[in-house]
Amino acid sequence: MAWSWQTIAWAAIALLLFAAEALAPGAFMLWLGLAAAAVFGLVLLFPGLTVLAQVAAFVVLSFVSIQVYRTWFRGRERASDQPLLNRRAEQLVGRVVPLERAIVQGVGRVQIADAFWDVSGPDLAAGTPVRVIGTDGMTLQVEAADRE
Amino acid sequence: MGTTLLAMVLVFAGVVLLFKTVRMVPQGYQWTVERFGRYTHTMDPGLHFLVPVIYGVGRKINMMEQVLEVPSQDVITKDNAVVKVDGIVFFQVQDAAKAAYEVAQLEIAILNLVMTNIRTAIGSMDLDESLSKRDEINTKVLNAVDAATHPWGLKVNRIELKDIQPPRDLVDSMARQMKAEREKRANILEAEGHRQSEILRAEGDKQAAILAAEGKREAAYREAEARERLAEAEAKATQLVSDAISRGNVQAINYFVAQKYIEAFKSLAEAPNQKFVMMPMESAGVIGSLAGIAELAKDALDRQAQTRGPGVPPRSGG
Repeated sequence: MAWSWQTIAWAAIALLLFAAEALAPGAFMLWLGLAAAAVFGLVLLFPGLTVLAQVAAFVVLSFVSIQVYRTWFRGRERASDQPLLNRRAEQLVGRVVPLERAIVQGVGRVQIADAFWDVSGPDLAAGTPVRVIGTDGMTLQVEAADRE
Repeated sequence: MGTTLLAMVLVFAGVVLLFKTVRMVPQGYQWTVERFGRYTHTMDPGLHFLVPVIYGVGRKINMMEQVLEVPSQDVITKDNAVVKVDGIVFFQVQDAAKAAYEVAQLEIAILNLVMTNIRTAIGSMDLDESLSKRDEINTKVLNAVDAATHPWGLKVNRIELKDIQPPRDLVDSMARQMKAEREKRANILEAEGHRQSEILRAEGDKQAAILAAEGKREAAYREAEARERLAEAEAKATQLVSDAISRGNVQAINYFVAQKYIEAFKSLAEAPNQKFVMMPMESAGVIGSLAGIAELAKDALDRQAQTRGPGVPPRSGG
């Protein structure tokens, strides 16, 4: 069975899209490539399909492949081993630092590295070691460090 | 022909829609999502799917720590010196939505804040202070800018003044002042050393003089003592002699005189350049004393003869 030029064209499109995805990752060409590969199979199975039908199938299959990824594979992604990258405040959770300015009416300040952070927590005197237990936007929530 | 055109449009529309649906946010960035132009949520790094047309990507915010150069600017200190100041700012976006929508032209806003705060900080200091208290200025500016940028979702981590440059002639005169200061210190030290050495020398001299005087005093004491002792001894000797004489014959004294006389005569005779001797003394006196000795001897012999009894001849030359 000799392949029609349409079959060859879809195979070529699929490969080109995969190559483009590999060169410039942006994820969406991958779905187009998968769709093109699927259309290649369809044309191989049903040689009588019109070009319009082929193209329509390609577009629809592109979205289908995304949906398949979303429903089946999304939960099985490998987690990042650095989930706190670029989250400076959250990286500080657990750190114990002395209060640079006393917490008065729930608001104080600490110095971590060169930066000063506003902290909220129970009223404590300056110099008391406090543990960062959470973040609230750019304010760190703290408690006295000696309390376990 | 119509179907081909439709197929092309279909492909184009499909690709565009797909492009709008699948969004991949790179690490280090967060993208805001808008629903018909209104902010709804923020996308973290990773693959995201948006309902096309309805949802769209708003701003792409860099969440990495960034550095901004603060351009050189003229600042007037409290004592009216004009210095050129430049610096750098490190900041990081903590809240992408606020950084995207609370402030327009984020970097220009930060730069202007930093520049005005540097002016304020240095303007409240003398030139010398502003040159020596950079850390203080950095902290001051950092606190002010950090507080001011909080509403924009920013954390300003560090502000550093790179260079504080006073005008050329001021630098020259500062160098001259420092040199003069050092010279002054050197001169003072030298003078002090000189003074110290003079004092030490004078003290040494004083000590030496005191010791010499003490030595003399001691020597005088001892000399007086010696003379006293000598006089005592002479007195005792005279006493002894006079006792001896009072107990014996007066002629015994002549023995001493004669002995001394002969000794003196002997030393005269022995003097190497005095061979011709005048004899001014009374020869008769000497002869007299010799006669006295003879008499003394005779007296002694008599007494011996008496004690040993008669018949024993006197020893000759005894």
